Amino acid sequence: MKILVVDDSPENLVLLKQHFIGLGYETLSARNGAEAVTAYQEGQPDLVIMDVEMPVMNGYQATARIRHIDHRRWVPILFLSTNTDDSERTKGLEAGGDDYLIKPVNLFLLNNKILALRRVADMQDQVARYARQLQANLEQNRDERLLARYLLDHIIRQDKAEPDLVTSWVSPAQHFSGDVVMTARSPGNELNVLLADATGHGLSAAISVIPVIESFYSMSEKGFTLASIVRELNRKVKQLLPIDRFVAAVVISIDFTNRTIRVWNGGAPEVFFVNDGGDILRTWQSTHPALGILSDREFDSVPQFFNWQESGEVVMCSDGLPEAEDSNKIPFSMTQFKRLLGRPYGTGRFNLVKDSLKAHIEGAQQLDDISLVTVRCCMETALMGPVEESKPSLQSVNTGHSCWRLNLCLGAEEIKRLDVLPLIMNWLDQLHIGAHNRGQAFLVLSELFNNALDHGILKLDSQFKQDPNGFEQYIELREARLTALTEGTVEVEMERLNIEGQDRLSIRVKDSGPGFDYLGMIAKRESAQDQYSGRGIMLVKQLCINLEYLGNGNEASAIFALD
Amino acid sequence: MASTVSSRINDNKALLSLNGRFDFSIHRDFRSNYETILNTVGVNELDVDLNGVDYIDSSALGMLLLLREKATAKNIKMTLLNPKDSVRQVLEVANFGRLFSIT
Repeated sequence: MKILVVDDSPENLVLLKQHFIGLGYETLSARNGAEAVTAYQEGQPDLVIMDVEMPVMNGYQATARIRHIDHRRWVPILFLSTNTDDSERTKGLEAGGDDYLIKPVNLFLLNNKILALRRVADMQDQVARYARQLQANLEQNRDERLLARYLLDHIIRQDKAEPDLVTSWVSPAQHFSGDVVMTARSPGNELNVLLADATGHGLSAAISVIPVIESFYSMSEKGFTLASIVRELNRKVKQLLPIDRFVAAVVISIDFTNRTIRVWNGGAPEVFFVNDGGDILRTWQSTHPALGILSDREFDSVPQFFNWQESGEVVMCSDGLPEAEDSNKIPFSMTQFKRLLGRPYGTGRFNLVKDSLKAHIEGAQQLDDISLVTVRCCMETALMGPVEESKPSLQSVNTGHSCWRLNLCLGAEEIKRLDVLPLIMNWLDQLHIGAHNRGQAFLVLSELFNNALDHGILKLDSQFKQDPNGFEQYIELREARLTALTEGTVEVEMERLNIEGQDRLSIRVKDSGPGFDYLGMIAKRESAQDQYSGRGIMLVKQLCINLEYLGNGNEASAIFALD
Repeated sequence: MASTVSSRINDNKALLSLNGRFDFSIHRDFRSNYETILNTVGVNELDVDLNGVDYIDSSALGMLLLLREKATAKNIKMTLLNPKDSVRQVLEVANFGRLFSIT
C-alpha cells in the first residue's frame, strides 16, 4: 500500500514517513495542499494522511480538488489537525475526507484507522470491479444478442411467406422466440408449412430450432415428400441437440390441385381444419414424439391425410397458446381456443383469438413463446399458385436429335426406399433445364411417376378417390402396399431433344403393371363425371405439347417444351 | 407453491417424488436427487412419482428424457407414476407413452 503524507512541518513529515515505512508501507510526501494534489496525480497513492492548516493551499481545499479529479476509485483521506472543534471536523468530512484525528497523533489509533479505511476501500474496489465486469458482460451479451437476432431474422426467409394464404402470429416470451413459422413451395407447387417449437424459450430455444430451418427450405424446394422432410428434420435435431432438447413440430403439406392436406404432428397441440361456418371438421392430434427424440430407426414419418370438400382453414398453435396463464395462473385453455374458432370465416377469427389471448395474459408474465397460424384452403384454384399453361401444338414430335438422355430403372427395393422425384429433379438441375421450366417439369414427372406407382405397381383403384372419404382410405392402402412391395419396376427416361430447332424435354415413364384403360378415363374426365381422379393427367395434358399412352397403358410418353 | 424434489431408496427400488411446478427451476434438485439414485449400487427400478405435480413444461420433459437415457445406460427400469390429468395430457401430446411406461 502506498500512503501520501501531507504536512507543512518537516519534523511531522519525517516522523510519519518513518512510522509507515516501519510498517512496510510505501510513502509519498507533500508540504502543502498544492503539492499534495500534484503528488496524488503523479503517485497514485492508496491512502492520504492530510494536515489541515498549511500554506499555499490548506487540507480541505486540496481534498476537494482530489475528489474532483478522481472519480474512478475511492482513496480514503484522513485528516490530522490540532483543532478539536466539532464544526472543524464536519468541514473536513464535507470537503470529502473520510476521518479526522487530533494531533498529537496516537500512532496505535492511526494504525487501526488506516486498516479500517483500507478494508472499506478494498470492498469498494471489489464492487467497482464487479460493476465493470457486469457492464462488460452486458455489452457483450447485447452484441451477441444483436448478432443472433440478425442471424435468426435472415435465416427465416420472409420473402417465402405466403400472405394470401398463411396468417401467423408469434409472440416470444423473451427477446428470442423458440417458435418459428416457415412456409415453402415444392417444385410441384405444394405449400409446405412448418410450425416448430423448441424446448424452453429465449436464445437457447431459438438456437435449437435453427437446424430444422435450412433443411425444411431446401428439401421442400427439391420436392421431397413430407415424410422424407420430417425424417430428415428428426435426424438433424437428434444429431445436433443434447438429449434434453427437442423440437415439437407440426409440418403440413397442402396440395391445392387435389385439395389434400398432409399433416405430421409431433408433440404439438391439436391441429384443426375449420370450415367457413366455424365447424371443426377434422382434428389432428399429436401422434408422434417431438423431433429429435427418437432414433431414425424408431422414427415414424407417416403423415395423416385430409381431403377438403368445402373451403376452410388449417389452424395450428404452439403449446404456449393453450397454456398461457393470466395473473391468477388460469390457462387460456384449448376449450376457449376452440370456442373462438367457432366464429364464421371473414369475421376476424384470427384477430379475435389473438386479441383475446393478449387480454388474457395482460398483467401476467408470459412464460412461453406463443404462436398461432392459419392456412387458407379454398375450393377455387386461383390461389393454387403460378402454374402457367403452355400452348398445345400438334406438330410432329417423332424426329429430332438428342442432347442427353437419362434412363433410370427402379426395382421394388429402390421404389420403397428412395424419394425418387427429388433425386431426378436434382439431376435435371445439374443438366440445366432452367429454373422457369423446373416447376412444370416436376409436375409432369410426378404425375406420371405417381400414376405408374399407384396404379401400375401398387394396383390401387382410382375409383376410391371418387368417394370424398375414400381418399384417406386410398392413402392408407397405398402406404400398406408400398411397405409390402416385393416386385415390380418403374422405368423413367428423360431426354432433351432438339426437334426442328425447338428445345424439348421428353419424359417417359413405364411400369411393369398391367396397364389401364386410358382412353376411357380421359373421356370420363372430360365429361366431368369424375372430379377426383384423372385431374392430374388433365394437368399434364395442359402442360405438355403432347401426351400419349403406349402399350396397354403402362407406358406414358410426354413431350414438354423448354424455353 | 414451492416445487420440491425428494427421493428414497429401498434395496433395488428407488422413488423420486416431485411436487408443485415441474420446470427448469428445479433442475438442480432434480439432478442431485437422481444422481444419488443412479450412483447407488443395486438399484434397478426407478419410479418417478408425478402425483404432486400441478404443471409440467417442455424443459421438464427434456429432463425426463435425460434421466431416461442415464437410467437406460445403467439398466434401470424407469416408470412414471400417477400423473394428474393435466400432466397426463401434456405427456400424451408429447407421445411420451411410447418412450416411458406410465401408470
